[in-house]
Amino acid sequence: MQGTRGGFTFLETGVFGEYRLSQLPLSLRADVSYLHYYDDKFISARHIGLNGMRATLGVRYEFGGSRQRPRDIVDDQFQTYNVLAGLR
Amino acid sequence: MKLHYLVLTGLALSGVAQAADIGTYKKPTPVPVIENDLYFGSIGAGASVIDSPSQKGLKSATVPYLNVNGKFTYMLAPRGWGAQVDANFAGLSTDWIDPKVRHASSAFIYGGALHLFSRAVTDAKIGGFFQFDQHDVNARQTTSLTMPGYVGGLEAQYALNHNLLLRARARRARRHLSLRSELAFGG
Repeated sequence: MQGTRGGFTFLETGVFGEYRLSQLPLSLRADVSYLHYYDDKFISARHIGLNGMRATLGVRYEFGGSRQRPRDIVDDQFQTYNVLAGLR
Repeated sequence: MKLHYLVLTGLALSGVAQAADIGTYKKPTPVPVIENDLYFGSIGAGASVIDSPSQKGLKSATVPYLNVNGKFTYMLAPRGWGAQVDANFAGLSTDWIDPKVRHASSAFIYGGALHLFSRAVTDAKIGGFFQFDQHDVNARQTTSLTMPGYVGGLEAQYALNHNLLLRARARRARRHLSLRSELAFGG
């Protein structure tokens, strides 16, 4: 059994957009990014090529809430980020 | 003279109209008292692709994968504080990259996040979060690549108007990469 540990640094530049349908609790999402990994020792030693473009198309369904207090745009749920999965 | 009379009549009618408005004026609807906790959520699904050009002696590659995520938010009745829980999953099979691959393997990203936030500031939501993601790649059950990642930080979003939301996040990420290979020798 062999084990290897390491790390890398990258820069991502991208745009994310979401369009909410007015009559349905649905929204359409798109995300396009360019990823650049810095050529550090770990990547160079293993000939790993990781630069590239990432694109995502998705749909989101919302549920819940209360008639007493309609949700506004500030209530929009926080996003998280992953280098491979993008914004979620 | 006749013209002057019409002007006076017009002023009188105008005054009556205002008086009528005051007499039928309705009280504004009171702000509802928030007595119950609030919960809401979302479920998302999508398709992604990473396109990598030929580089560092490797061929170009197009990697498609699917992702699913769910978010659930719970806010206490006074609406000053709340929590959000996320669950995320993404996966692919290597024969999606190259259908001619002899031994297909799978790769997954799964994890979640916890957000604690306050709505005490007008038009803003401010909080902190902790996120965990695990990346698993298993090739023929002899080699595995795992990358657990931990992210924590502060986040905020501010509504510039009813249609424009500004998001900001300051975070610190820690990701480990572990490659394990088990080689079997036949006798």
